[in-house]
Amino acid sequence: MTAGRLDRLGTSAGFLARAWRYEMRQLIRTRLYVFLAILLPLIFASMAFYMFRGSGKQDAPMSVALSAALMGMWSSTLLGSGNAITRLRLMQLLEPLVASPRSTFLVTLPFAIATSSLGVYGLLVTLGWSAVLFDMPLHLEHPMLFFVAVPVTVVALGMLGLLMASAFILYPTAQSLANFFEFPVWMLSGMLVPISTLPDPVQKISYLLAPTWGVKALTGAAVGNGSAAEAIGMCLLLTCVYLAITLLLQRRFEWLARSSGTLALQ
Amino acid sequence: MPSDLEGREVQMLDSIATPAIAIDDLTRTFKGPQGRVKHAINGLSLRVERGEMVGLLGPNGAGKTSTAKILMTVLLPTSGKAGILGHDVVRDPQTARRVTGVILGGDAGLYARLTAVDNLLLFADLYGIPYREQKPRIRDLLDMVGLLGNERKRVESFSRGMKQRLHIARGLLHDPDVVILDEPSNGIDPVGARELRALIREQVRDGRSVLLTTHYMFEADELCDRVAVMRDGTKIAEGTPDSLKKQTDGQVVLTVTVSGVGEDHVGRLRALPGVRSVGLTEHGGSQTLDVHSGQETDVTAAVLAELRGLSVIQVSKREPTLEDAYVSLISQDRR
Repeated sequence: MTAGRLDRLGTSAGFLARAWRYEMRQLIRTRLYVFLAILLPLIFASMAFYMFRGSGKQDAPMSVALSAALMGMWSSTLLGSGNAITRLRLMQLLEPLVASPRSTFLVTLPFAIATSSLGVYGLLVTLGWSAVLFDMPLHLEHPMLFFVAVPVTVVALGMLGLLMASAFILYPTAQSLANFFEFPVWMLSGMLVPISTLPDPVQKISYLLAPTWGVKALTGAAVGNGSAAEAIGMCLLLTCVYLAITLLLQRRFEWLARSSGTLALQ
Repeated sequence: MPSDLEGREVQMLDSIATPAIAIDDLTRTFKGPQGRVKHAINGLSLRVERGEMVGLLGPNGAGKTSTAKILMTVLLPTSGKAGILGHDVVRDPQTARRVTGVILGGDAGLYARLTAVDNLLLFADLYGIPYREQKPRIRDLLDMVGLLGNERKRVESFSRGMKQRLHIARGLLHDPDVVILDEPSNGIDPVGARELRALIREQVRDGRSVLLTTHYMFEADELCDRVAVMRDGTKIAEGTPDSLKKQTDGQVVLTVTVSGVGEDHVGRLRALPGVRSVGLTEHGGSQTLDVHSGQETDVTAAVLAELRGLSVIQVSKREPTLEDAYVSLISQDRR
């Protein structure tokens, strides 16, 4: 590898680390985001547990806690990515960042990493909350697989959020789209209801969503139902597909944003 | 058949002959309300030669910032061509970005919650400046813009002038050959603006080519080798500051301090015989009318007759200034 390429890789990693640190600082200081990332999963978990107890079923409380954590994680990822682009536009930083010689992907990647990092925190807090308040046993059937499934799922959610945030580069008002995508992904990926209860054609869409496989991987590893390893593989594969689509879309969206003049604050 | 050496010489001569900025018949339109098309830039052609500083002057909405944004590669032209050191900003934006430094005006465009040095480190990474070079270069730049000692303070605590100086440091981080300055002295106090102009002048002394957009004639006069004046997206004049000043030769300016003047009054004054242009400035409670006319015609009586019924506070006559030359140029075709 040439020295120039090494420098380039090094400075890309440096940018990611610095921008991630900055983004974390920003997110932690945003009250709405703190509510979404930290409190919302706990509220979801509490509601889910009360409903679960009311149903009279006694199996797999861990699945309930994980689904609630993932719902909160998806909400915060979607809002976090959209917020970051909107904030850059408001601070009139989107133009200088796009005007740098690096790809828009590198510029937006730290947002996904930062929201994902808080997602891991949300997941751990939800599991702890459920264990303390609802006496959920913290027993994992396949601990190794579970600890692989956590980062894979978090990255999958982050990448899906980044894919959608690409549209926020183009449309200043696209943040409203975030609300539109929040609930359907809960439904389609099996966080809210089992996928088997959805109509057949809708289930096909579910299997194209990486979070669906993330849910399967986490619950599979934790409770032991289904093949967690296969789900982790599918989750990774779909995340790679999202990455490719994001790279293509961002290039296209950057072109369209330059064409329509929407990078600037309108 | 030319030898390799001759080929290289031809290539070198070509690169020397390539202007720093070349804009050819550039047009940019925007869709306004009810689908109405507005020309932000209309057929602009301009050259900035290497080592030259060219000012792009014009009032708000003249098309200066749109031109700067096209050169910054954050806006695409509707038609025409623009290139930086021969790199087309549409077809080859990445290369154009590497050789261009962008310095924006105003106090936004920086990470407010980060320190000055963190802002610069972030952009140093983004521009791929090798680690070993980052800290010494940032230190030199902070020293140059007079921010050493404040580098660990958060940008949100900076004054507008300090933020502007940080913008300059950021724009020069990757040592660009071409610099685009978009209204850098906007909203800065006179002392700060003077320091800023000294900084900008140093850049050309260092061999950089600069395109400066501004609506301050005196700024362009002090800094630029040539200026182009834009109005409503069209270039209406181009030349050295001295040649533009000559436009006001043989003119006199009647200044009337008044209150209650409306656009209809300005329109009637512009139509008076002998009047070349009229400028109106608001000062809270009062207004100042600058009425330009030829020395051969005294328009005082006619102007005061048009303002009958309004509260006229003061009337005086003076020689035109550089600012007047610009105002005269901008308002000429509006008569």
